[in-house]
Amino acid sequence: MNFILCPGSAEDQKFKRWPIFKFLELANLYITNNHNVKIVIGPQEEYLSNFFLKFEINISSTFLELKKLAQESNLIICNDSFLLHFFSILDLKVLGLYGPTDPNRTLPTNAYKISSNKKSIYRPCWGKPYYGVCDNGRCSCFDGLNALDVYKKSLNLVSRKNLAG
Amino acid sequence: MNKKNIVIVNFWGLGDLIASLSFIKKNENHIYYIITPQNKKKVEQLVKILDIKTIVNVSRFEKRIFLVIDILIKILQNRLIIFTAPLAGKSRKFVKFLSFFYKNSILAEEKGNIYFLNEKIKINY
Repeated sequence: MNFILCPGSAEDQKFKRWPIFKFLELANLYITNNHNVKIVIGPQEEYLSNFFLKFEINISSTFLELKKLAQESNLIICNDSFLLHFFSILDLKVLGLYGPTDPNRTLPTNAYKISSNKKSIYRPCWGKPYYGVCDNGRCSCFDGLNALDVYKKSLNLVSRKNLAG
Repeated sequence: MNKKNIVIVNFWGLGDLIASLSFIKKNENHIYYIITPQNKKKVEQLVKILDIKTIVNVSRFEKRIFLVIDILIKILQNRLIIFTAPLAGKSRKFVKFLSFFYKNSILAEEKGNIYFLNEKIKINY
């Protein structure tokens, strides 16, 4: 199976990013289990490429390049970012990682979602005065969402037909 | 069917703008002018890659103050203005104020999924 990981999001909203070391752990899980992984990184996120040196990385690709790349994949995994919306409107299979933002508000109608099962009084902190700094100055909305959870969900998604939710 | 020349306003990020482009894609029987703080060239590329089959022009301004002036110009031209979702916070307050005086406008609802909210917008013929 071919997976694309998009670990970035807008620079001014880094708290919307699932932790980078978890993306790395997820990428390694795919490789260990004989899947293919490509990393897509935006123009403002080049520094993230340092975490994925042993993987195929696509940096600052054009919209057309992204479209072609994604069409060859079985699933694209993104934070709640531009790429989540972009790949979804192209009718590709996309899994959105939701932490501080609310999937009921922004999840594209044909996309899938995953968020932490861990109970939190903060999540999602979007729209609240402490957005992005909900837990003593740190956003804890992604806490409890582990690489293995995303890995299992992704395999489940690629093995079934489109049925968003 | 009467082909309208519609102004779409979205003050948010490029990801949120996709929900507005999704609205345009589902209503391709009109001509559009988008007012957004996003880069004109980038938005035009998006329109092309999304294979939107109607005329879509994009504001050349990116700064808020010029975007507001652009809206005021469109009001003077009596154009139908649609403020698409997401429309929250200060933007919503501003738009509510504007729409009090200018009736040829449609405001997306605030609560709910931005794609569904935009789907609920109906253009009167």
